[in-house]
Amino acid sequence: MKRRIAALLILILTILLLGSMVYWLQDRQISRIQYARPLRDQLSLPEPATAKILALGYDNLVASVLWLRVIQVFGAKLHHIRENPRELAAIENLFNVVTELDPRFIEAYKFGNFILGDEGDDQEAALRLLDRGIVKNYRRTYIIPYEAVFVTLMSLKDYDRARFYVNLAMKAPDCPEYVGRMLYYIEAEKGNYEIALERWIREDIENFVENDRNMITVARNQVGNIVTQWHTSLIEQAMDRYFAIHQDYPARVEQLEAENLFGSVRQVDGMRLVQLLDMARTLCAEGKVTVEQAVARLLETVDKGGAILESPRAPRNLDNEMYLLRHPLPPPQQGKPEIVEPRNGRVYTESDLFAIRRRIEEFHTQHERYPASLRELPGMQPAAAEKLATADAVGYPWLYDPRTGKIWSYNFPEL
Amino acid sequence: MGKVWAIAVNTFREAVRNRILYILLIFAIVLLLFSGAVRELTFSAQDKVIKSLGLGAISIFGLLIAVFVGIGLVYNELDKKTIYTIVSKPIDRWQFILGKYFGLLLTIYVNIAIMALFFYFALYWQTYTSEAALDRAYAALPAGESLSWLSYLGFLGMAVLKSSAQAVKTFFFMPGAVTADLPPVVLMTALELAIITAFAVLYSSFSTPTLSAILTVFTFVIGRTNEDIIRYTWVIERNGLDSTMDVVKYHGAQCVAHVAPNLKIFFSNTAYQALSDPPVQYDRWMAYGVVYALAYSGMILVLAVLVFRRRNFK
Repeated sequence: MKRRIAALLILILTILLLGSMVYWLQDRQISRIQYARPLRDQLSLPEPATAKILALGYDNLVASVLWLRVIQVFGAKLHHIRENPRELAAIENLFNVVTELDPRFIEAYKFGNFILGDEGDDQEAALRLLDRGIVKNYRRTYIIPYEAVFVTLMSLKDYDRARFYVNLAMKAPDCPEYVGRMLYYIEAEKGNYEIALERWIREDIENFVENDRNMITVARNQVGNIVTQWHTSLIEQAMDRYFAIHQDYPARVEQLEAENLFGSVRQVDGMRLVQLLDMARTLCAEGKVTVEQAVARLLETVDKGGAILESPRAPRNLDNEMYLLRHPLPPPQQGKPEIVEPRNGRVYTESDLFAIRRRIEEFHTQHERYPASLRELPGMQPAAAEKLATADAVGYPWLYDPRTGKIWSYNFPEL
Repeated sequence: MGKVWAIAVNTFREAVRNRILYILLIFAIVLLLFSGAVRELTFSAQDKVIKSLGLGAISIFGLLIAVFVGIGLVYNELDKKTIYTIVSKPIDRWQFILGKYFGLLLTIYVNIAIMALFFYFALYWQTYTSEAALDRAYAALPAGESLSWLSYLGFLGMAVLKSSAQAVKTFFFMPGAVTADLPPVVLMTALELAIITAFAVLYSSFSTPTLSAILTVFTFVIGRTNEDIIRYTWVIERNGLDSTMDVVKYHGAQCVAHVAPNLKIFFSNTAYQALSDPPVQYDRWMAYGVVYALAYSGMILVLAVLVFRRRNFK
């Protein structure tokens, strides 16, 4: 009897002892629980390759479900992302899983870039995700490399990488023309002003010949901007040299010239360039000279040497460029593109798209292929009687896939 | 073939009396119709998400119907002793198995057809009742006039009619812009289920419903991961076939990968491409899928006939 009671007591004591220990451990754990669940708990996922196997072929379905989840989590929690950099790894893995399951989920790359790069301030992580997307969608879409262009250009200021991504974007069949113009911007940012100027002059003339109203304005403004940037950089360099000598900045530009701080530089006669550009446009439109010849002639306005103030044009140049900077030149012909309300813009764009799609179908019926470029359509040519819009109502050029004949608007993609 | 058809029709009639079928079908239809609500949960890629959810639902519910209805096909005949009345008639066992298979396949395909129609309808309904469509309806009104409730009902009625018409057109492989690439995906799902159904009939011919269900699901999992099994053998090979265990694992996995169905054929080159923009042509893969599904399910059915012929009903 005594032994049974002793055994019972030992059992009870053991239960109490273990129970106390468990209670203490539980309490310790509970005290660590935060009101808000950590993100990594919510987003914990296996490695992308494992997740793909576990999805059992329902890859699109699982990717979509995870996509919905990440949007909800972002709305609720991810705005704290910068305060919790450790969460970034979990989020990066989440996007890796989504894009591994559905490599063509373009929105996921874009949103991942936004969260990792813009919100999380980890541009390299964003680029890792975009690089994966570029590899898996090589020559399929320009959108992913174009996102990478912005990351490298705006955030990292890595112009060589940006140039690499622009070139990748341009290899995609759906790449709109404006993407290629990022190269001009990159050249200017890198200090290769002459190259940038040459490209914008070419754009200006070509768009005049093709009667692209929006681009005429853009190209003309950019010619002015590049010249201004170029001359500003020359002055800044001279000012740096002045500062190195005097530990102070000059009050007037003439002080730089007096000390011969400009050295041997290349510069542009802005006024002459603008005059010649107007003339070159007309000559090219009339077919009297080729675009190549016109561009070569215009680039001769770039002075090959001499100190900036030694040239009699120099002071006037600076003034001209400052004028250009403050007063962008208006397009020479049709006036500014019409400014439209978003609601009306949608209606106009839809109507324009309808007309162009009909033309594409007619072209397809006649030639048994889709036009290689929208410029092949009769209404897109400068001499056409009934002109088709070359851009949507907001002014963005159409996006067009020559393989499928699909055309859509950047601003109203649902149309 | 008349006898096979008679058994198939009877199997179909029997299957449509199964309550599980209706529960699954109703659940699937509700899910498909409410997929539009998903639009509110995502700020972009709405169409892609809705389509992938819909296609996934059709595939999963098709599989569940194949498993839950198919596993008891032969077993129930044996359990209820109704097999005696069948085998006592001038019907061969192969006719019985084929009849059961085609009956079940008919059931599954009718269900897939219903789900697909509702899915297409839901997609078009969202288009015809979208904000843009409503804007157009407003634009058609005289200036300053608002849309009355009667006009709105008319607008909705037209949306129902147009959505139904487009859904039927899509079903008969004349899709509009919204469902352009979806019918081939549904077709490939149907082909995949033809193989799974053949396996369900095979397992049902020699085992209990529970075991049949487990085996059918296992077959589906192996089929869907078939290519990963091959990749696994490459990993073993790369690490060196040093031990006996490695050699056994390598040849075992190779054997499974070569014998088990490769169901990836039916989804990897259809769903991805249908949902990607711009879509890719995949006609060649469809032809491959059709031939593969016919050959593989034919082989499994012959196996099922062989097993069933040797079965003793005493």
